[in-house]
Amino acid sequence: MTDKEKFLGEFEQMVLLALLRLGSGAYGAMIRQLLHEQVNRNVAIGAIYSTLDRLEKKGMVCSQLGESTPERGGRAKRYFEVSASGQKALNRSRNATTIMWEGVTLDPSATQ
Amino acid sequence: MVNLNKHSVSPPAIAVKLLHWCLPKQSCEYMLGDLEEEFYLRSKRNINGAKYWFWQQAITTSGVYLKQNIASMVLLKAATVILSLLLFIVVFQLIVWLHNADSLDGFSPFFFDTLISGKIHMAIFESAFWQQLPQTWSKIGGWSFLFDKLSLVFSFFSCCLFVYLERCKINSAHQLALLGCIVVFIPYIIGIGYINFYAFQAKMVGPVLSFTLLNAFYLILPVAYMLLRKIQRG
Repeated sequence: MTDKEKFLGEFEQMVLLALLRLGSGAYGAMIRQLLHEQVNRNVAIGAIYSTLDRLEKKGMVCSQLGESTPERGGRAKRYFEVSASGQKALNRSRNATTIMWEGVTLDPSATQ
Repeated sequence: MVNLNKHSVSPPAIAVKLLHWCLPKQSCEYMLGDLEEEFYLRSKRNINGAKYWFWQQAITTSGVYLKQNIASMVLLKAATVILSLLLFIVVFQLIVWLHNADSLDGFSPFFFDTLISGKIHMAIFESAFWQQLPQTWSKIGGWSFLFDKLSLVFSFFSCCLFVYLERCKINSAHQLALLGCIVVFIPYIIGIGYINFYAFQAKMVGPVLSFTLLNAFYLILPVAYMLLRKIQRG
């Protein structure tokens, strides 16, 4: 594993956390809506799938095709799940962030 | 009240076409499904807003995948093969024409000035150039005009520099492609600058042009081969 692969980018973390929150029913539209509602990030569906494809290549998520519904024009869903390696990477990123935040205080006027 | 079932409200057809066009086939279905699902939800509140949202998603999503495709090695590989062969043929034709053409009949009135300023590549935009090709080909007596000691030595050193940079300094195939273009074309561009700077007479332009063209001719295929090898290795 190279240094670059050890830590996740911010958006990768967001997507993995969204998958964990959504559980077994996580697919593109739900992830997009969750990110929009919870963290006010209105992202393109393509950006989510591009990130998910990258994480799948790294073995951090796995996916499977699901059922199709009439509201989707009869198209199938692709469900995602975080793998053990993805959870490990998330934990590593959280620990790194927590360590780096220790002793840091921000200027209150700058964060308003 | 508008009937919001899937037959009365559908996402903008052109935006759907755009997505079909830009997305990889295997991911197009579920991505379009996700977008349609959210589109129907949004259209219950505001149809125009939903259409606007769908267009926004289609454009940004297409952008993400187009960017990926452009960056993809497959495209770079195809571009390397096609462009290098095309360039090789064009440069070869220019060399044959430069060596054998004896008149500028049929060329535009300003072409002579363009030619003596070193811009021989402008010939490919002249219909007379393509019409004269069979004649120039029939005049080829031997292939010795394709060998020039100075160009061979210069291109050999350019090739060595390219190999050195490929092995030691450059990791990405895209950077190597850019370097390949520089190695092949810079002598030609410098040649044009040199001709214009010294305002050469017509008879002095030929040797400079043949040097720069032959240099490009020798380098195109080896550079393309090394680039393909780099792409193959990833």
